[in-house]
Amino acid sequence: MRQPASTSDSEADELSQLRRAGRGEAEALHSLYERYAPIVFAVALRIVTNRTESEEVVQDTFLEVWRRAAEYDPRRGSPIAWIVTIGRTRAIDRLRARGAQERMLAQADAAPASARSPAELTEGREARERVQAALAELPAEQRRVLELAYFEGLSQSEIAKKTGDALGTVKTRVRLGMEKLSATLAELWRVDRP
Amino acid sequence: MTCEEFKALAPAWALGALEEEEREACQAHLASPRLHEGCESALARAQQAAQLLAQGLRPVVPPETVWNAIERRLAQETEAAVRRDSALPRWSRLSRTLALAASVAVVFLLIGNRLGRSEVDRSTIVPLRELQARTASDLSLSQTARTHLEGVVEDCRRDLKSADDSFAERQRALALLAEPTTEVVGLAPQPNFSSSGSVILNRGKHKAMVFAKSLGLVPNRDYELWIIRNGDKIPAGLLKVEAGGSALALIDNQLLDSGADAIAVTLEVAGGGTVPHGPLVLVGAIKKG
Repeated sequence: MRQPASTSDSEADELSQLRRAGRGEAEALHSLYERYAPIVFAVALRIVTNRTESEEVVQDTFLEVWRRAAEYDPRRGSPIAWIVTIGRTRAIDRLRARGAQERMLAQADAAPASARSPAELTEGREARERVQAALAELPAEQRRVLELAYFEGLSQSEIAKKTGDALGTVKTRVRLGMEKLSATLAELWRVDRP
Repeated sequence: MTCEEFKALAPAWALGALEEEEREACQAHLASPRLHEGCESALARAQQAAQLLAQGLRPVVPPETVWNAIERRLAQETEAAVRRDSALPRWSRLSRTLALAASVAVVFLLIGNRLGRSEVDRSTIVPLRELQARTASDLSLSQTARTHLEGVVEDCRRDLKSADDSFAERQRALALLAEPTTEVVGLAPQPNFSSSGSVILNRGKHKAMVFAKSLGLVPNRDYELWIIRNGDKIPAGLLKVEAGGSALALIDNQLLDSGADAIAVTLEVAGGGTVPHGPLVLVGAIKKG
């Protein structure tokens, strides 16, 4: 089963594909696309809530991976984290460019992603369910600040304004929430290691 | 900003929740040449944890049109790059490539230097507990770097194994590759060529081999190997290309022992020459030993 932190084998495989993409091998980019486009697309749908724009985010993401693959530094995180971060950044950029009002219109217009294109991957399903369970265990206020930051691109002070909580409280929730996610990550890693 | 302060901010940075000035301070801290105390690995861990939020979403396969659009854009960009590159003189292209390759080598040297310097610092000034923490952090970094390098070697080994069976030198190359002190240097393909290659180099044993694949057979043309040293291009023999498009050649150890900044392959008129005239096919920078 695949898991978020990736085992050494799959990480070596991803590194190899990134290196090959960096040397201009389109086949390697396609392998990375096959593996990660569904995650990037899901993140984009969650952030921009518009199918057409999310498809453009996926395009932009993998073109950026293609152009910047040679710059990838494994010390800064796994390939999947790098690719998803690019996708999330592209989606947040679009969200900011679009503005709040237009976003509300798009939300009203967009059907839930799973309703239009379920096409769920079976690979990684168990890991995802465990991640979802771990996220569900987070106190609601911690999960909310993490989601506001990650999916809406809000800074801690913007979150404080939005929720009406003190900045210090938001920072504490971010820290505690991330500590719990790290513990979940370690747990997944331990379980999935051979 | 201290490393402790950085590590406290790393989770919020990974989430994208820092204010602009905090993010800039973190970037500046990470880019500073000081001896860090596990800052990069703390950020990498935080990014992995933040990514669980994405991992918890149900994946959705994009429609086929998305990949088709990517392919079209790749083709357009490649075509534009080839047009731009064709406008440059041949050896200008080589110089540009070498400059890029040299920067990569400099980065490697800087990393090596930084790690080497940190050993001295640790042994003289840091308390034992801190030393243990830093060593663990650096071990984690070097482990990742090693995984990366092992991947390069594995690529080369796989390519060699799948090469044409008629290679008499193939086993020799695989044996050389198996030596723990062997380095593998990638040869970057140049515009208009889909070839790729590697230099398998063992400085201690004074042995080096070049392995290239996907070399198209061109009538009345030969692929010629060059050693670039201080801007001079020294001919190092012709590559014998097998029917499958692979070539494997031993590099003259005397040529290599005298020093090499880079190794290149060009496509020359049959028989080759003493100065390169044909287009550059592959090139790779050699790290100083």
